[in-house]
Parts: sequence; C-alpha cells; structure tokens
Amino acid sequence: MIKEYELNIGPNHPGIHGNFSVHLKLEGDTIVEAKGNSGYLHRAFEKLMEQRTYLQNLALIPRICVPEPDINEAVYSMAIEELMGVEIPERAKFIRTIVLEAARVNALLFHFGGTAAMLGNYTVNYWAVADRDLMLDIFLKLSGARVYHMYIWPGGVRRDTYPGFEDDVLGFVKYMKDRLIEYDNLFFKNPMFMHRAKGLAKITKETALQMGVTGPNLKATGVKVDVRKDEPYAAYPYLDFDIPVLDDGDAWAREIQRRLELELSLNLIEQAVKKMPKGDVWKKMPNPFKWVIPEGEAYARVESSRGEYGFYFVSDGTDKPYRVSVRGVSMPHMYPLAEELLVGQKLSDAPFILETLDICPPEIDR
Amino acid sequence: MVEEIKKVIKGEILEKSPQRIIIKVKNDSFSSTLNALKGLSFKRLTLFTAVDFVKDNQFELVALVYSNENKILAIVKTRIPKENPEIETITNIYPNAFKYEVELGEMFGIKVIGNPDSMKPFLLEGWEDLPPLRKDFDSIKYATEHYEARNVEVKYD
Amino acid sequence: MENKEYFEKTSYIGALTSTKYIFKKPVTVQYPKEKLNLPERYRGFHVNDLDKCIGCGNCMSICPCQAITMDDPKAFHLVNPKEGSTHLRPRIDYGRCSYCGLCVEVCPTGSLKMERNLIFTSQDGDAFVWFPAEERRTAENGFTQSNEITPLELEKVPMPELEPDVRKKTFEELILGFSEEAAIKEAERCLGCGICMQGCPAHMKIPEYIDAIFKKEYEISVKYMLEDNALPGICGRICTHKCQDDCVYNYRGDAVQIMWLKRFATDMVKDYKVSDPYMFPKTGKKVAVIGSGPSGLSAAYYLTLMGHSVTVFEKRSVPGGALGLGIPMYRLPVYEIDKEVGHLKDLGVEFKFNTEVGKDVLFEDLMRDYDAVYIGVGLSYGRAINLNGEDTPFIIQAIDFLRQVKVEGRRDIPKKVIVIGGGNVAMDVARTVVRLHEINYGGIDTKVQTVSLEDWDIMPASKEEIEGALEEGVIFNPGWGPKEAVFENGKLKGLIVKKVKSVFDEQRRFNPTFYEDQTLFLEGDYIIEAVGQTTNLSFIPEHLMQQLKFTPRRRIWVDEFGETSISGVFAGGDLVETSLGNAISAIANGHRAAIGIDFYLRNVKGGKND
Repeated sequence: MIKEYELNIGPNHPGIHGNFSVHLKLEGDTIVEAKGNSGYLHRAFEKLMEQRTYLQNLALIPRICVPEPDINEAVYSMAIEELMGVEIPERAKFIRTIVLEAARVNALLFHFGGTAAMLGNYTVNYWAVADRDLMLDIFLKLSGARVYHMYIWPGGVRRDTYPGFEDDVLGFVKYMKDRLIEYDNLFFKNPMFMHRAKGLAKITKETALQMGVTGPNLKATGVKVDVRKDEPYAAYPYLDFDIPVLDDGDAWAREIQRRLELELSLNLIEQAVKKMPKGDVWKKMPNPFKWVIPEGEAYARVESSRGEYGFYFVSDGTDKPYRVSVRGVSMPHMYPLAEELLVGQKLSDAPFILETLDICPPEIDR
Repeated sequence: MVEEIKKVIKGEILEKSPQRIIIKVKNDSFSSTLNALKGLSFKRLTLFTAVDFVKDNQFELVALVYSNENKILAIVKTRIPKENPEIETITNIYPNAFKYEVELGEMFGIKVIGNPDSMKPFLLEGWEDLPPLRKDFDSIKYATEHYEARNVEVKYD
Repeated sequence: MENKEYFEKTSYIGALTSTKYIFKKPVTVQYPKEKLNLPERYRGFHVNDLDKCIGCGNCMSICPCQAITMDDPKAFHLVNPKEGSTHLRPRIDYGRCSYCGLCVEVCPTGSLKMERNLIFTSQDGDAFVWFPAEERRTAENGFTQSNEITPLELEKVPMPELEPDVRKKTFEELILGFSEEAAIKEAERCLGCGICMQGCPAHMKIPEYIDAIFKKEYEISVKYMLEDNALPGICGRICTHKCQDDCVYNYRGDAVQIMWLKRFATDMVKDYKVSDPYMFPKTGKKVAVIGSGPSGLSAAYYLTLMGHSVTVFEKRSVPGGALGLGIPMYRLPVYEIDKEVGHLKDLGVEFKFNTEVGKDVLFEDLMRDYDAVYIGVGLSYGRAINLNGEDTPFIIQAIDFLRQVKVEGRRDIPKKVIVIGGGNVAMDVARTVVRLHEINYGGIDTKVQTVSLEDWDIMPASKEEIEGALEEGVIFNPGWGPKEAVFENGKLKGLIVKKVKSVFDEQRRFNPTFYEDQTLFLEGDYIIEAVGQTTNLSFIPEHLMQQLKFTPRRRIWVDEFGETSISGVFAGGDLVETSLGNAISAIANGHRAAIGIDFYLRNVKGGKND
C-alpha cells in the first residue's frame, strides 16, 4: 500500500483562468504538501512593454489579465496621467467607472461559473457565461471588441458612448438584479454549497494581513480595505457606497463576499450612469510618434475583482516606458497563501479552494 | 506620518503626494528601514521588484509597503552595484516577499542571501541566457536567434 | 451582519425554482443560420481605399504587433502613384494582427478602416496575409477614425507675424519666427512618415531634422539640413515649401510648418561650422563657379566639403544672386545671407565680387586655369513684353527695381504704380511699393495695382503672398493682359488692358488669347514689369557656344550630374531644365553638379559615366 504519493494537478486546470499547475503530496486523500508551478503563461509583458511606445502598449496590456482586462488599461492610463500631470475630463471618469465596474461584474460572473462547476453545479456555469455575454454585447457596441476593449486610454476614453448606451447599461443592471435572486436560490443559498464551503480553508485576519492578501479574500476576514474607498480614482469620489465585509474568512465567506460585491457593482453602475455629466471624454495626448513622458516614477492602483492591482511605472523621459512592474493580485494569494491553505485539506476540495481564492495565473507569470 | 518616519529612518524622504512617500536609503539599511516601517503600521508588502539602471551600472531595489491604517504607500528604494548583486532576504519581515525574491534572481540575477530558492528557476524553466529583465538583454536578438521567421508567400493581384 | 443571515438561510426548494428554465429557449445565437448583429464600431478586418491611400506607412509604424508591411500590391508595378504618394500600400498579416485599430486612428487620409467581419477560413496559412482593399470588402464599415478624438494633432501652431498696418511701414522682417516652446510644439506634430521628402526638390531629411528640433538638438538638426541644402536659413524664409504641400496632415488638418521649423533651428545655431556633415581632405583641384546665386553657393559648399578649392565669380558687389538682389528685405534680411555666405567663406571658399566673366575675366581663361567650371548665372535679366515705351524711365523691369531698392537703397517712387505679373516676383514688387509709399507719402493718395493674365484660381504666386498683399492693400486685376501704355505730354498716364480669353492652349502650353474688344483703362504713372526673367550667356565664346547643346525649351542641356555637352563644364540653377524656378531646386541641382564635378575630378568610373 502506498502511504505517500505525488499528484500533479494541471497545467490545464479547469478551475483556474489560465495554465497553471499545483504539485501535491498526498497521504491517502489528505494533502500534506502543495507547491505551485507557474510559468506556463509567461509572455514577458514587462519586457515587451519596455520595447513599445506609449500608444502601442495599449494593444498589449489588456492581455495580462484575461477575465478582467480593463483594469490594466485603467492603471496604465492612470500611471501615465500621474506622470504627465494630466487631469482627465469628468465624463471620462464616469465612463471609466462604468466600464471598470461592468468588467468586475463580468469577472465575478466568470468566477462564480468556475466555483459552481468545481462543486458540480454546472447550471450556474452556463448561466453565468450567458449573462456575462449580455454585458460583452454592450462592450462590443461601446468599444468594438468583446474582451480586449482597448477602450480606456491615457487621457480618458477612446470614444464617447454610443446613443442608447445608458439604456443598455441600466437594462443590464435591472436584469442582473432580478437574476441575482435566482443565483441565490440556485447556488448561494443552496445547502449543498453551504455544507461544502462553510469552515473550509479558513484564513485568519492576521494571516491575511501578514501575507499581503487583498480584495475579497481579505475583506471576507473582516478587514475593510478597498482602493475605491482608500484612494478613490475615476468617479468613485462622487458615488455613494459602502464596502461590505464578512468576518468568517472561510471559503463560504469569500464567495458570499464576492456575491455582495457583485451587487455593489451593479449599484455603482446604476449611480454612475445616472450621475454621468455631459462633455468631453478625452484630454488630448501628444502625437503618438513623439509621445515622451517626463522622467519619474508612479504607482497607480485600482481595486480589481480580486484585490489591489497596480503598475509600478518608471519613465526615463523617452518615448517608451523604462520599466513597468505589474503588481499582480494573485501573486500573494498563490505564494504563499494557497500553498499553506491546501495543506491538510482533502484532494476533492483542492480545486474548489484554489477557485475561491480566485487565482489568475497570468498575473503571476506576467 | 512623514515626521514619524523621519524620526526613525535615515535617508532621503520625499512626500510626493498625501498617499505616496518615497524613501531612498543606503543598501545596508534597506532591511532595517523596512523593519522600522513595519513597526509604523506599514504591514503589507505590495510589491518587491528591481529596476535596472544600466547607465549608472546599478540595480534599484524597490519595495512598496502599505499602511492599511493610514492609507499611505511608501516606496522604499535602494541602489546596489550591478557586479555580483546580492541582498539580504526580507522574508523575515514580509513573508510574501519569498517569491518576489526568487523573481529577482531569475529576472535580474540578483542573489538573495537567506532565501533557499534564490537563483532557482521559477517561471523560466531551462533558461540559459542573461536574466531577461536586465536592460542589456536584447529580447529581439534572442528571438531572431532562437526562432525561425515565418516566411509568407505573398499573393499579389 | 444581516447579509450573512440572509445567506445562511439555505433551502433546497429555492434551488428547484431554476427548473423553470428547462422550458425556455436557449440563448445561443445559431450562427451561421442566424445573422450576427455587429455594431458600428466593430473592429474586424481592414478595408483600405488603395486610391485614397498614399502609402505613408504610419499604420506600419504604429502597429504594436508588426503585422503591417508596406509593399507594392501589384508586385513591381506602380499603382500610378500620384503626387505626394508612394507606390506602397499596407499588407497585413492576420496571424499577427491584434485588431487594436491604432492603424486606423493614425491614418492621415482616412483610407484605412475596419469592417464588420472577422471570419475567414482557409487551410493555407499564407492566405491570411493580404493587402486590404475595397475589392476584398465583405461587410460594411465598422471601426473608423473620429475627427474629435484622434491621436494626430491636426491644428498648426500659429506663426506670429507683424500686423498689416505695422509691417507695411517698414522693411523689417514680417514673420517673427517661433519661440522655442512653439517650435517644439510644432515639431511634435510631425508623424515622421517622410512623404514630404519626395516633394522637396533637394529631398531633405525632413523627419530627421524635425525630430532633432523636437529633442532640442539644433546642431544635429542643422547637420541633417546641410547634408542636402547648403543654405538652410535662407530656405527657411523664402522656400516655396513643396514639402508642406505634400504633408500628410493636409488631408485632415494643417500641414506641419516645415519651413518655419527649419528657420527656427538655423536661427538657434549661430555658427554652422559645428554642423558641417562631412569634410574630406584637400585634393588640390580647383573649381571656378560663375555666379553666387543659390545653385552657385550650393555647388561651392559641397565642392569645398569634398576637398576642392573653389573660387566664386560674381559680377555684382553682393553675393546671393536672385536671393541677394531680388528678394525684398522684409522676407529675407541681408544679415541672413551674410550668415550663410560667411559660413562658406569660413570654410575657405574664395569670392571675387565685381568680377564679370567675359569682361573682367575671360571664360577661356577659367577653363584653362581651373580643373572644372560651373555656370550658375541664373536668369538675371528681366524679360520684356514689348510694351510701347519700355525705353522710357516710366517703365522698369522688376528685377532692376528690386535690386535698386535692396542694394542701391532707392526710396523714391511715384504715387500710382501698376505691376504687371501674377507670380511671386510681382507680389514682392507690389509689397515693396506699398512700403515705399508708406515711407514717402504716409500711404496717402497712393495706389498699387497688379495686372495678371491668370485669374485667381491659377495665379502662380503662393497663397500666403497673395493674402499678404491683399492685407496690405494691393489691388488685383486678374484675368487682364497689357495692350498699350498711354502717354500724355511725355508722361505716363496709364495702361490699357484687354480681357483674357484663355491662358493655356489645349496642350496646356502657355499661349494666351484675348478678347481684343474688351478693354479697361488703369490709371498709373509708373509701370513695373514682373513677367519673368531671361539669361545672357554672351560671356561664352562663339566656338564653345556652338558645342553647347540646348533643350527644346532653350535651357542648357545637362546630364543627370549637371555636366554640359562640353567636358569639364557644368551648369545648374535656373539655366537647366530640371529647375522649377525656385531657390530650393537650384540648390538641389547645384548639389548634384557638385557630385558630378567631384566624380569628374576624381575620374570615378562607374559613377557618372555608368
């Protein structure tokens, strides 16, 4: 009889958005050691960005994070605006807020699809992907592409909204709010989910703070930290909202935390659409072939659906970034949090636990 | 906050904006600075990376530490020479620096003393060239040497 | 924690409510049975209007994926490139394209668009590389550029100039020049595509020198200029700027003001010595240059850089030829000519003023004493139109009038002046007369009018000059030709003009016809003829003149390196066919001739004679 054996999950793991594997050591079906194995998605974004001009990078950056590409465009633009000392028009701020929140809704729906599938509830997966497509259709109309919008760019946004945009977005918000009840019934208030998730892979407040955890994973332990409130960007200073927190810190709380944030996002979109002023959507940026940015450094950050996402940006006064370092949210969530959290858990729970941490491998590989 | 930092840290301290403080220190006091900052509520290591200043022949190590209580991000920087670059580990202060330190070894060739995985492959398996994020590594040259260009047979009208 | 309690109340019954969806229709679009409804901004494959496209290559430069290559769509057969266009068109590799649409954003003509289709199937990988063209279009337009939000900078930086009321009282330079801030802002607009280089007769490296201005490297900028143009500061003031006519910004906005940028950079460099592009060791060969006009100076400069000793013979007392004598001071101040000629003197070019070839020194002697001779005497004599009374002091040639004002300091002028001609010289004359009127009479009871065969739409003078003249109060009579000058008591009374029927004949040759019965009397006591210039080659002895070959348009025949049919004798400037009658083309063929002379003196085989 084998006492201890090794198992490699991945790299084509269904529960994670991207190629990534976890090397497990098991005793029976209990995990005694877990080691992450990254690198399958390494595309050298940081190096590539150093070789492209400021406008050219627009086509590259959204690809760092597949489920939620808009945050990349936002932090990139915010870093450049900070270095250039540019204030963007009010309307552009509101449009950015709507786009970012809608992207969060999309990412969370995608995430719920994955989580539910880990528990065998494939209906939620199909629902979530179909509902996400409704927002993608609006993105398609707004920016001309479904996933890689390249819509937020330095100085504001690339085009004004199309006629009927407000109605489309409000229609989506209303539809999603109704749908949320059905999601609750089917999944979040389903005793099956409760039994599987409650008390599983609990993170304490202290561990989370120690390990650099952010986002819903941290908020589910009771720490109210959110970039939207702490360092408001885009139109968040104009919006009225409160950050939800839970205190359990287990898999269940993390998922419910995300479910609450989804609702918050819908509320924020609704508010932003209603408060959106008229006016310009873009502050003129220099000719792209001669676009140089003053020497200096900046760190721009936003709250993504997974936590604090940021770019550390160094400019040497030329037409290309000198160094861009991507603060991927998932880096501390995987190393060392997930590696420690998996120890002692059952093999059948491992994909679900990884999924509840919402790890996005491209953010680790960069 | 800046006043409090100035009391405990020796170095160049610049308040760039209300929520950003830039601290430049000598490389031997890098970890002690971070230790002091951790005591001043800067409990989260947000990012730990390096920048290759090839003209000065130096690496700049950058640690971004954040204070949840005061909502301030401190950018702690230090310069080390490019020949045989070595630093002390900061995992004893911020445990999540572990993989960032492995990355420093892999991407810049900076050895981290006290980190058992330092200079081991993390993302790039079987990499034998210069550390890729160094400015003197030419990725286009590498690509043309290692991969064949796609030859397209163009159809004209 | 009310949220928590809500979610903690679990129930299987609730989960069962979702079974109602069993009876609903699926949401998946049944493509291709069902049509995809793609929106207006859809970023699909490209569509390029090959006739509208000018092949500037901005799309290729901006492409982050290097998916675009500029190539000839007909493989070595030009797509009849019009002026300001290359024969290249973008070819896109859809294996690389990321559909970001940046190429569409920076397209200056708006020929490149995206269509609402992204579906193409083929088993052949190479089939995914093609030239987007209207013929390949599969769907209606998707993503197109917007005029409100564009990364291009369509508006020019205004150039400060003296107000008409101020400037017509003085011969001070009327264009004030850019401030450093304005110049850098204007330089920043340049896209660097280089389409302008084809329009420039000297093919100056315009994108490079503008980029150097943008980086505040003025000495490097002037170095780029001096590679192809020996007189950049003069050209920065009086050039006909064909480059700006070709600037790609013309399609959607204002052209980059290349000429003013050139002027700015040369003004910033006090001594061109630091910017000389190259300097070869001395060869010991001697070259004589006849005439110190733009082509002569250009030839002298490059020959000196190539290591030859150059002597310039000038019959007048001042250098510059047409530049020094003909162009009024408010356009080209004397100190600017002195600066550029001074640069040549510093390099060791010897100038012999007041030395007329054929009189003070014989052409045969030059041929004997020097290793090569360059003729750049230009068109220094006014062309008469055989008007009655041309021998009286009331009718004068423009070139003589301008010289008298600029060099000899003439300031007297009658009150009512008629200028015959519609070119830039006529504008120079008219605007000079305006200034003299202001100086002599305070502008009271004075009148300046021009008569030109050409109507407004075909008037050869540049738009800026016509506008400037109108602002200063010059009256235009376009579409009339001179018939007869009217004298009374030995004094000029005026000019009778006749209506023009057509200026050009069916072959587009200059051949004016008139309505003899439709006439108009213009009052005036002084007539200045500015209808063109001619040359005088009488300094060339008869036996050599017979060897000299001429073109059908009575210009000296030269090969592509400026050598005439007499070995060792070169010619350039307005004397030769390639000249367009402006300073920059004279400078260009002076440079070509310098290269030809260098080949000749070094006996280079495979160069000129190949």
